[in-house]
Amino acid sequence: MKVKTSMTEPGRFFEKLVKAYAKDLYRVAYWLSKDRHVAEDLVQETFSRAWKSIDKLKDEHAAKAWLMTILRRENARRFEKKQPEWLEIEDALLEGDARYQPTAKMEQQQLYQAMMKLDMEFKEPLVMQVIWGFSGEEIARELGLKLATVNTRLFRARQQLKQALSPNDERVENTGERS
Amino acid sequence: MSLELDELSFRQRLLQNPMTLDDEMKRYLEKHPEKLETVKKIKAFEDRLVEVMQIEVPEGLQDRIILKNGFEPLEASASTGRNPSEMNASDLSESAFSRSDGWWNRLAMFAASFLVVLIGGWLWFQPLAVDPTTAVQQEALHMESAVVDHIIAHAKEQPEIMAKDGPELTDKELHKVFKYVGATLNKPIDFMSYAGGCEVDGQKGLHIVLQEEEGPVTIIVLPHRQLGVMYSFNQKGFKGQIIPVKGAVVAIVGQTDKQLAMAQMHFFKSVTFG
Repeated sequence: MKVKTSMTEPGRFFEKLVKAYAKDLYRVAYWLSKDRHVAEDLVQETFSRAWKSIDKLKDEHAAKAWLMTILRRENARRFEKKQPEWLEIEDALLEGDARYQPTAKMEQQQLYQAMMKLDMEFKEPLVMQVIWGFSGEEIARELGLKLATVNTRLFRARQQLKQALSPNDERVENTGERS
Repeated sequence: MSLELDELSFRQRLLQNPMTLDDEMKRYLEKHPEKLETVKKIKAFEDRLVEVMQIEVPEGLQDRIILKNGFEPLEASASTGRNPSEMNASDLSESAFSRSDGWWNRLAMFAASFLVVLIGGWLWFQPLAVDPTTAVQQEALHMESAVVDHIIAHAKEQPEIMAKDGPELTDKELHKVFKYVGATLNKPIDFMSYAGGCEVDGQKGLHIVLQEEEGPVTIIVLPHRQLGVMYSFNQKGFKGQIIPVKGAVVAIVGQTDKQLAMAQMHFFKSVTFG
């Protein structure tokens, strides 16, 4: 979504940022934290910090990367005081959401659980690509990795998810570069 | 001229970003049309992945963020990293939100829009003054009086429940009283100092006290009551709102608009209905 920048009115600009990015940022936070309440706290904290430094922001594209950087930093802070992790179950999958018929529902549940269990090094670039819409280059910049490494991780993330769903599927060996 | 992709490289690139086929991949597909089936399968898998990743976002999240930060002034010089002398006078004299016209009005608007989201479309606002004789308004006025009388009675007979260290319920009792009014307590309500059953207008309900910054706020939930509109009142020194939710009404009563907005945000962040 495009956000028209109006730096003369930071309040309005902030509001537009929230409207444009809060939902997807929550989804990213959720997949990183695996907890709804932690995800909301992370998003609230991210926007609080963004608000306090809103004058630093120059344009929309910078905003997207900027919010992601703040969110990741806030998420990293959680691990300074390590807490046990819980695996949540998506309510829609448990409560018979009309979107999911029994078979499809089971497959979606498997995929959901596989996502939950995916190692952070693979999950993080995947979430940035699928939810946040970052390109490989943008992910590489955010994570401080080489593009080839990001591509390898994206490939392996999807490969692992597919394997979790269909363990007998043919496996394509990873020959991607490493940083 | 670049080398032609082999099957392994093609598949790797496909899994790196299934929604974007670069020129080399397109050329590979032209030569190997049988691989279109693979592309189709991986794209279908990607669709499922996108669906799973699009988890539901809590109701009113955006409004809560805006509401919360509306009360936090911009720490102009400290947060921007700029020298205060480089800023305009307006930067230093006002917060950014107050610079835009009528922040308080905007705050009220955000709170209202949050509620609109909350009750899923079957709530809409209309001023009560338009036609004071409708049944809905009479019901609202009746509820208003009953709730205010109940709070005044409590203040006289049980002043301790408005105190910060009011009597506590166990988790089990807490969930039970919320369940009774058709609500689910998803997580502790910020600043809640008391929760218990009560009886308003001959009907059993839930009575909560939140210790907001400017003083205690009472929230009363009455199940099986309905109101077609959100209703605001100002009576006997109390400011209040009666908010219809799924299967109940929620009355929030305090002294100031800010208290009501904050209490509303804290309550609906933790409690869902239906």
